[in-house]
Amino acid sequence: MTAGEPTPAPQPVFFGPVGAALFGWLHRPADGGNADFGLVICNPFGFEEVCAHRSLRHLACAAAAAGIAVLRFDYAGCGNSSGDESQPRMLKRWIDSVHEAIDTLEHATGLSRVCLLGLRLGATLAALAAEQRSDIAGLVAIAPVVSGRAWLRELRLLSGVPGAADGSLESAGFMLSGETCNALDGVDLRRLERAPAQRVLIVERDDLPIGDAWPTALIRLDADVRCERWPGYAAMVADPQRAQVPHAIVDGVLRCLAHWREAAPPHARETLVGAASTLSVVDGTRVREAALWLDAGDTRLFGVLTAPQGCHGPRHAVVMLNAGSVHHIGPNRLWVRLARQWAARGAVVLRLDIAGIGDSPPPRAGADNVVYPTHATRDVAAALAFLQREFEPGELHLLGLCSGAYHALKAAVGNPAVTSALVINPLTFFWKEGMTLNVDLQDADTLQMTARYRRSLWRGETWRRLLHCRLDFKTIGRAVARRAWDALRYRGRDLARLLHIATRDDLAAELNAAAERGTRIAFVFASGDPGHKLLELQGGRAVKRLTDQCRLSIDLIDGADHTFTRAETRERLVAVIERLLFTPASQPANGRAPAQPPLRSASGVRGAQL
Amino acid sequence: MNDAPSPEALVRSVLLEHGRLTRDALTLDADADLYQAGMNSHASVNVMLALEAAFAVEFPDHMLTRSVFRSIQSIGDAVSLLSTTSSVQ
Repeated sequence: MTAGEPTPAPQPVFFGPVGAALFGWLHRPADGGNADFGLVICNPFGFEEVCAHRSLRHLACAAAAAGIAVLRFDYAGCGNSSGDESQPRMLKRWIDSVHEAIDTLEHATGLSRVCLLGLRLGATLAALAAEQRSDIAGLVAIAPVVSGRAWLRELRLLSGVPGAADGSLESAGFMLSGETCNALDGVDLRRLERAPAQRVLIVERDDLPIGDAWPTALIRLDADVRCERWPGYAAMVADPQRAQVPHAIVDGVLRCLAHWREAAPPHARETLVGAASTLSVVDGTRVREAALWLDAGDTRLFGVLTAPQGCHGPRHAVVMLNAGSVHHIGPNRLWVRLARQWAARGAVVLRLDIAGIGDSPPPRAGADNVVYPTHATRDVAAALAFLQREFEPGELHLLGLCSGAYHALKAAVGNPAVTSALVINPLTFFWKEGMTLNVDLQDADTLQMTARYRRSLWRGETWRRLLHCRLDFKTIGRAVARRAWDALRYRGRDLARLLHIATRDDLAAELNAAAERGTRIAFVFASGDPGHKLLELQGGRAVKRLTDQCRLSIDLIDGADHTFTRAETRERLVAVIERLLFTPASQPANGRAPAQPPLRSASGVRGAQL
Repeated sequence: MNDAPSPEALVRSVLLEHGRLTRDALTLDADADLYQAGMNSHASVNVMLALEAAFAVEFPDHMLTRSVFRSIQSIGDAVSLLSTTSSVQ
């Protein structure tokens, strides 16, 4: 690598079979792509991938900066790649995806020495694919899933409920069919018949021992095995908002790859991969997906655009926003499914990563993985402007969950181009710079804690602990006092509104402004999610008035958690948001007649009817 | 004299190391709700793996539920049942 030469930005690519394209990121090294050594990164599965996405991006960038060509990618039915978990022979498709990725990296960069790096199930798939070929220079296995059966048991506990009758498994928002579970149940890396590569680095997890059975088996297969226990695994797979890049693991892996690189002779040639777009058929409609970059301030935003082929002037255009730190696939990969479904109905959908989240780099002076950044409204505006400019849609909609819901609401309030915002489970309505996720979602936390205390009053155990002075009186007292203060604040604000006194951070004023302009705000809450109560408290009487006038809607979904991890609750969420999105603007989306006529017709402002 | 920790003490030490509790696992009520005490689903998986290693047992699929891992008491009951079953076998 030439000193001081910047590493090119990662390039999004679609590759693999026509109609079943895989999505990936090609990280070319700084010398213009003439790498002689490559690395294919194999993701973990499901929520582990969501948590580790940022860390693996960092690892890929660091490897490219060290002169290694890298391809990280989504398996068939995962991430941005085609298909879904219901397809048959999923385990074979995943292993085939690894082969496709290896071949693509070799053809894209002309190199012939490829190593594989896998995390959790990714390490397993990498080993299974490598066992079937002889051109893998080395395998890095981070916290590998050695036994498929043991891993399925972990997922079962994670799901929290007994397995389904058909053998399928739903865990942390991701599904495995009964057939896939059966296939995984038979996977055991200790029974490989040949070593996946001559050189194997196993990075053990730092929170639990994984045993030495697999390294022993590999040594018996004449592999050169090295085991390390660098810190960082547990922090890497923490919830996405709190996950940390495991720098010790990244540095250690790069040192090992440099050593392997010296040990094998290069054979380089140069070729190119195709454009970052793909075509598939969804519900009988030809749908095109394209990976794209948008300029926003001093940075670029990554997004995936899904549209019917040859689309011009669609009725609906939708921007989907990050749910917390989850990248552009959305919570439980829901955004991918909805984007394809809605494109088949004629809509244009952009799944956006705001700057510093997912695959969008942070602003020059900003940090990454900040879920409530001040630049979010600017980022959303850039996405809306792009859709307006390129497609001239009749309606522009925003969809977000958690922090994405917050950004959707703020963008809708501030941007007259927005037809509606679908705001799912916001946890705050006024985020201030300097607040932190741990301590400053106080309004929501206070509501949850006091509600829990209220429920506890009816349990004998609570009173027993009270009598034995085993309750945390300090925390309880603080929460109750804050709740009382909040109630006073909200009453005071209601009074100020009656007297037409302007106050700061007035949610009712924001909702009124959006309604006056004809922008529809549609709230959807999992029943019991604290945002619902917050909306009623902070919005005051305006919420009921606007709801009665059908200029604002609130839908509640029973039995759901904050991110709709269970498929059954997700289906009900989809039904609600499709009703809200595809209901003509002149009709109330909640199916009720307005209690009194709106002050100004929404359809008159927007001018676009279904 | 037997210095081996009691099963409950072993459960508590596993929770201390892997449960990510916001309260002290060593003094927590045996029937206190571990999920309300800060243990999330991911931590419960690590607790399960560590318990299996500590007690040399394997939780069968039907016991991989939140109710089994809800309290020190319920974990102790499950481990006791599994230990008895495995010693009989």
